[in-house]
Amino acid sequence: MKKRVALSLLLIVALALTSAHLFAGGASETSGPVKIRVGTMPNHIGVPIQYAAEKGLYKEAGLDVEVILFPTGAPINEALSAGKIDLAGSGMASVFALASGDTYWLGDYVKTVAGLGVYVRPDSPVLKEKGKFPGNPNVYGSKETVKGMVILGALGTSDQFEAVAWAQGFGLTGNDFQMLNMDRGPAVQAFKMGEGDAIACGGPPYNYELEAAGFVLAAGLTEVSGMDIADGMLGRKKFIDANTEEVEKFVEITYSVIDELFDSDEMLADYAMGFYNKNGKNYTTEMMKGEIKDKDYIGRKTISSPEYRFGSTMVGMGGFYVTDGKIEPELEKNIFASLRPDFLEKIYGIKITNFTN
Amino acid sequence: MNRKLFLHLLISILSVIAFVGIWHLFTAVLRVVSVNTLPDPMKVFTSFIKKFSNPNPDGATLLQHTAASLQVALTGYFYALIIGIPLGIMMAWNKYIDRFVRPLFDLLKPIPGVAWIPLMIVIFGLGIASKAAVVFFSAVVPCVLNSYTGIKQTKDVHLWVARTFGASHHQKLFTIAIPTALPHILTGVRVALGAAWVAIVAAELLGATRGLGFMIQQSRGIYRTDIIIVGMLAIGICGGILTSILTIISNFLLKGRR
Amino acid sequence: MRVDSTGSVDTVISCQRVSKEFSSKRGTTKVIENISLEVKRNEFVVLFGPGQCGKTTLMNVLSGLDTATSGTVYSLGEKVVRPGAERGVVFQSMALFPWLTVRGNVAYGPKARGFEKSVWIEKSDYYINLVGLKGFEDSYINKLSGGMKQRVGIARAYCNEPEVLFMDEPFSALDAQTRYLMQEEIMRIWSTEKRTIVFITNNIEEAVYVADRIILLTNCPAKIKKEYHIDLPRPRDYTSPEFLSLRDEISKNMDRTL
Ligand SMILES: Nc1ncnc2c1ncn2[C@@H]1O[C@H](COP(=O)(O)OP(=O)(O)O)[C@@H](O)[C@H]1O
Ligand SMILES: [Mg+2]
Repeated sequence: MKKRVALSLLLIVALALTSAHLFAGGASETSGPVKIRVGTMPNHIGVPIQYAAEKGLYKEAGLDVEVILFPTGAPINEALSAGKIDLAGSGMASVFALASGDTYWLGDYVKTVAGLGVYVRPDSPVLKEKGKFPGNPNVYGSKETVKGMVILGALGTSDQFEAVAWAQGFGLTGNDFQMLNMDRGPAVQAFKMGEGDAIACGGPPYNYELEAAGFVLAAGLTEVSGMDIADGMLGRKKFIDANTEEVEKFVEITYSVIDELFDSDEMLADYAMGFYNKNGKNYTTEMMKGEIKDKDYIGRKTISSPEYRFGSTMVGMGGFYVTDGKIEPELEKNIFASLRPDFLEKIYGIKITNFTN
Repeated sequence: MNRKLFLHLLISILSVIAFVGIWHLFTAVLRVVSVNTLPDPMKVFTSFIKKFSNPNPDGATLLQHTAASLQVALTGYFYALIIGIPLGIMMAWNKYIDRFVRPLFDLLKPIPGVAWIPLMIVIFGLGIASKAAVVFFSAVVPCVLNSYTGIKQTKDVHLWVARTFGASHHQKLFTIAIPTALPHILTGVRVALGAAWVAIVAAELLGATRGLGFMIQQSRGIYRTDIIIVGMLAIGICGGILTSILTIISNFLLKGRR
Repeated sequence: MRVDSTGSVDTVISCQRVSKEFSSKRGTTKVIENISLEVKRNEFVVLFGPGQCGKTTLMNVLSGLDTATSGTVYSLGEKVVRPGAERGVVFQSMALFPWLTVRGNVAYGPKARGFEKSVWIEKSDYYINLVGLKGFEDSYINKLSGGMKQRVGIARAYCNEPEVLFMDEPFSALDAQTRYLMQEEIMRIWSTEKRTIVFITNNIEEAVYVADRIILLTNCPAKIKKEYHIDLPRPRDYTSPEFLSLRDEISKNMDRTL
């Protein structure tokens, strides 16, 4: 009898232990400050968030922030959708999260000036064609040379967007070439080994690696999309609606890092390089210099200017993906509805205009 | 149809209805989680129908993905059969071959097929060959094991009969041992099919441009859980159809034995 | 026809001073001791002895399935070293092939020996008919009754047209009624198609009913205790006084099993 009781107790304990993680996701409502789980990436997007967390800036403001790093934006979306993170600093994959209607866009904070685009081998037939891309004579390629290509890259990220934007310029769609899904590091290795016809580059440091290997940028993203490419902050509606004050503090601190600390390139370079290399990348000072040239952090100065339009990248890309069939047309309105400039308006005490197309 | 059979069928149908019903309740009615996290059955059903003609969001229709997966899976599976079955038979029939092959086989046997993916991509590149090789490694093990066990079931007295009829060693293998082993070999063939189908989905999660596994991977991170479930359904349906085809074939081959 | 070691043209199978021992870790057991015998063409010889006395072992040695520890076996004047098509065996367990039909079983020998299809069809037709299984050619073994299975076993052995047919307690697993019927049947078959038969049994009635000659064996290790020539006219009557007196005499001389 005793044995049986002991056995059932053991069973219950085992069950509790093994199923604990199932409920961990939802159970953040405990006493003390609300825990904010923030997903981001070990690249330029993650730098301000990681910096603020590491230097204890969030804690000083009374926030309990946990930073979780992901390799690309696609798993960040999955984590948001599953409620495993509350806020995120993420790239273009965010547009899918916004289209879902479950998230808010809180603001862009880093703009890509160069470094994103599709690279090809020097002997690629694509390079024999130039000037056929409407609106930008510097883009290589033509309808015939792009059609049927195998392009390496990470699905659901800016990689795919680059390739699709390039193909669309020639009147093709995302279904006219083949996207071979790989994470960015392995994709570069595979491309060097002769796989695929082109590679959609996920930005620094991969563009430096590709250029060093002698590959040629056939289509830069800003050239083919005609858009500002800006990464930023988003979060789950439910969480933000329930914790407006904390989220506002979080946004404020993150932007203050950009406004006050990242004014100095040396300081940014120093910190960023340490952060990247701790996360398995091999940045040289040279590469870091290149990256600082290619990426501009956006703060009070840019946002206060009268030309600034809130959410331009997300809205622009949303339209793009609707045309391409990656986002259902009836969901496009969710992207407009997701724009929340009011946090930045309050923080900076200014009026911000949303982007419209 | 007799009443018992009807009852059994009814119970099976009820289980499916109950499952879909609970799913509907928790999604469409109670909305416990967001539609993006878990779509309701109706949404999945319409996505399933639409996917037959709509290549979005992953670049190909459901049938194109299915065909791509089938091509790779059946290629690897076919090689697993034509190599695994004879290998298992030879190992059971000839102890020198057994001694020679066994250490290597025992070493490789516990490695799951999907663990071969990175190595196969390095060796064969990203095309069909590397994925077919992964399928092969997953499917070959049950082929070998079941063929081996089957041959070992051969009764001595049957071999004696063959000897008293003047059958050669060769004839004993083909007219006694292999027919004895056939039910086991066919079990291996069925198990291998399941393994192949599981492996293809895993293999397509990496370095693929088409296929049901690719379709699922594509839909991750872009809030298309409905397409993920459509992919899962397609995998289940295809696996079920292939298994029933094999069951029909093996019932035909084994007729009269039971 | 060759002349055998004893000089007689009519001897089909013979053995001289055959002994058989089995060795194991626990020592050696002698199962057959110094047996010499001769079987004439078309003779129906019964090896009769108590259970576990060594009858099956002796048959294995005579047919070439097993080798004698000492002594020699001759078949048509040649030393027997391995089984061969001229020595057919009906095993105690029947050992029919369940994966084949009645036809497949019966035609196994001629097919293994490479006869043309028309030939093995004709042969198997004849013997299937002979044992009374016409109409069951395409039935699988597991669908047949015990008596029908015995008929298939006999037809299969006959169809290979051996010089001598060994039958190891072929009717021991049948119920009494079927057993009587099969004893009559084997007599009918044998008188239609005369063959040299070495028939093993431990049933005295059966022995007296079928035999030309009964070789009575002792308890293990088996030696020849006595031989009886049975001259009763066929078909024999189990209840005739001659039958009963022979039965009683042999019974009296038989060793009792412990
Ligand atoms: N392969 C063997 N190894 C050891 N002992 C054996 C073997 N075959 C038979 N025997 C023994 O020989 C004896 C006679 O067996 P068997 O010839 O089968 O008897 P029977 O057929 O008269 O019933 C038995 O005691 C049996 O245990
Ligand atoms: Mg016996």
